[in-house]
Amino acid sequence: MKTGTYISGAGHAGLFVWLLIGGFFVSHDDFEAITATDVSIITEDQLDALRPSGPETGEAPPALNAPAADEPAPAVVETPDDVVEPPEEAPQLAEAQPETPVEIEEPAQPDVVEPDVAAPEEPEGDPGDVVVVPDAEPVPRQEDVIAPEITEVVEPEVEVDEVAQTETASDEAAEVVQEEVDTTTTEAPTTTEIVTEADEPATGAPTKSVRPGRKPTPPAPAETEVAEPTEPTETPAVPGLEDLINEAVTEANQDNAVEDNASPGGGSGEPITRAEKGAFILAIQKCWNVGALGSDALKVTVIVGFTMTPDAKPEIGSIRLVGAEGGTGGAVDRAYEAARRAIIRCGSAGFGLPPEKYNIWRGVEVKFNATTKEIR
Amino acid sequence: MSCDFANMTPTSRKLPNEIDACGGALQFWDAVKGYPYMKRFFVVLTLVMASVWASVAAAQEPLRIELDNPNIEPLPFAAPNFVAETAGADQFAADLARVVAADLSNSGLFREIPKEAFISNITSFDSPVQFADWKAINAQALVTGSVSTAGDNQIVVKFRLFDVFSEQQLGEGLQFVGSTDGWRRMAHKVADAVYSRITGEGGYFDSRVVYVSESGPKNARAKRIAIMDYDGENNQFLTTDQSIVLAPRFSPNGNRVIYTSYETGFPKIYVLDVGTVSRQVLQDQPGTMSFAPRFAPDGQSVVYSLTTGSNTDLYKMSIAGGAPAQLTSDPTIETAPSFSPDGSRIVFESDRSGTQQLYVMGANGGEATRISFGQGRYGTPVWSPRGDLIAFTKQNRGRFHIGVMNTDGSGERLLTASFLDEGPTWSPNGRVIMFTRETSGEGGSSTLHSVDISGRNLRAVRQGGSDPSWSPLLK
Repeated sequence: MKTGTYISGAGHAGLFVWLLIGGFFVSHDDFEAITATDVSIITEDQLDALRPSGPETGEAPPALNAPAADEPAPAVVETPDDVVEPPEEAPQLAEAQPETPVEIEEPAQPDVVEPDVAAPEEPEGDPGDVVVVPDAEPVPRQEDVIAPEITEVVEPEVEVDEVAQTETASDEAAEVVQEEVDTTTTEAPTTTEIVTEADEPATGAPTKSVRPGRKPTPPAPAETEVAEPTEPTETPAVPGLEDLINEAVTEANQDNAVEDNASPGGGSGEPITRAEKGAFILAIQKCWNVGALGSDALKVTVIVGFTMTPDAKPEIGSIRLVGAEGGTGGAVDRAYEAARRAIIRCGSAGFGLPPEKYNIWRGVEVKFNATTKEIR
Repeated sequence: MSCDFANMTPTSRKLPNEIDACGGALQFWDAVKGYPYMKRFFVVLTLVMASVWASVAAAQEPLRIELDNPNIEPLPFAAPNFVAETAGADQFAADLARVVAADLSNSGLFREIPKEAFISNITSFDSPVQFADWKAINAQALVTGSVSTAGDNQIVVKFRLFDVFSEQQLGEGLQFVGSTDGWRRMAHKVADAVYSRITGEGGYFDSRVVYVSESGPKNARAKRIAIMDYDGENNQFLTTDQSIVLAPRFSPNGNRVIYTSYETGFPKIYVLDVGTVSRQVLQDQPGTMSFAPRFAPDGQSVVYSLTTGSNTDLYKMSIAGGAPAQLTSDPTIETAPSFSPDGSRIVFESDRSGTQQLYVMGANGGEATRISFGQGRYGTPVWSPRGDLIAFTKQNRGRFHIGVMNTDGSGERLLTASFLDEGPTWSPNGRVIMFTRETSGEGGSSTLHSVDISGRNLRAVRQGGSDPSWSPLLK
């Protein structure tokens, strides 16, 4: 408690001492002496008596900062930046270069950077006559801009014309006239998509022949897609990285051979591959035709089960309806019959499944989902 | 924490924390330890066998795949000439097969295999079918039949339908007996049975269409009410060409037609009996114009438009007569009414919103709900006999369309596009729409067309016709 009081007291005492005698340590040389001028008041008559009489001499006042006559011309006349825009010939130099790439020499200081048209006029007369020199100090001349190398000629960008254009294809009547040809029915094409007359372009002439939709390309058998193991690199950068790379490459190449069915117990113990499964799907699908099904039957999804012989042919007697959804009664029956026809038709020659995996595909359940073609 | 079951004492096993840690295994060990060795052996054996059984069961799980991209193409079928079982039936045998094949092909859902491609033929109606011969030409359906003549111009027609690749008959065989004059109808009935058996929906071949027959130049065109088979055959005129006639509509049972005639200089509604070709004026209120009539599903009442002064509203009246009931009372034009199949609602067109749009209201009037909101103008709505869709005419950007939409206005689909398409009517099974297509110019003419509701199979049915109305399936 007292210690603080002492410290505070000592501090304040020091402060007072400094204020009182601190000026002793400060130099007063920086302070300028105050000068005073005597001022006297005179009358108007006294002022007129002091004025000189007679005409003005017209003598020009001495030029402020005027250069001496023997000095060279002010550099300001050679710095046209503020007066004349820089010449635009530099890009033309680049355009003049041959298009074929050639060895480019170091560009010499071209003379054209000071063209006559760009050079400001020399002030006539004695330089000392120059009265107004706002920036008397010389400014360093800007370096000439020279393209360091050949530049491509940039095509002007296409600008969107904001002016409204008149439509040239708005003649609906003309299009209609082209459609007046009596449309008689031809054989309905095989397709997986339905295109109505209203969907067709307005022009009467067809733009292309109607063709069935492209079916997906069946994936190639996995065995043919497995690449040979890559040669190991001689000097792997990191110990163990070689194995990792090889493992990744092999895994990537065997993408289509990934186990897709976990059904164990196959003759070879190997699962059916995704490619084999895809080929099987396509084999049935190409015979699955719902073009003659009614609206209700197209809303039905049926699951059809059957067994196959070792040569991958369906046993017709085993084909059965396992389940259905989306309809009842006759609609389910019609959907099932269409599915059954597909199995029998395309299975008559065998589905080409690997015999060594017979235990896996001996029994099959196929879900036929025709709702994607439902007439909505 | 490990579980030392063998050294655990019953007391220690009762500790709650240990029981929680060791869980069910502890209880299992308790159970096994309580049995003699033989019993323990059987328990283990049972477990092993269960494991093996599970493995075998898993191995026999069927391979499951899913297909979701079927083909849409007409079903190829073969319809060899029917077998003539009596003398003089040869022509009928050929004609019947031809009409059956034409019906199925006209639907767009079937494709006839030319007879030139046949490997074998049907020589006896009851002989076994050589399926291999029909499989070879990819005939997926086979229609066989026979015809025999009897006294009094009677013929007997029998048929069977086979699924060739399944090598089995589809449904039961059928037999029809009728007059020789009605052989076409018998062929249509055979085709209806085949169509229904394969598609799962009712047929429409044994039906008729009433329409306005048009002849002469466009500025002086003669119009008559006419009736024909669905395929344009058996055309008959029901009225003369002395006056303009419009909008004939079948009654629900198909034995009457209601239409508008300008016979008196003003449009009036007439009811025509198809069998006797007799008619009567239904609505004859002086100073008014009545038009656009349509039967209610029960056939006992008619809804129509009546113009009084400059206002047109919808009215309903009994076919037996009596005072009409006003259904709408707007200062705009309400016309083209059509009942829903259950008779509970009416769809009509109105310009009350400023443009011609479709509205639905109760069968006895009341507040109407607008259902069309697309660009353009909508008109001539007709409710599908299945009740799920409404067909309409749409005019947009100088083109006319026939389209369908759900009854709430959703799911609009345009099926056609031309200079002038209008006046849709539904086939009895709700699968096909017939309409009028008119060509432009002074030499333009109107033609009846049909189109599947999927938008496929657009066909010209008959030249010189307009405003068709499809009958129900004939009895």
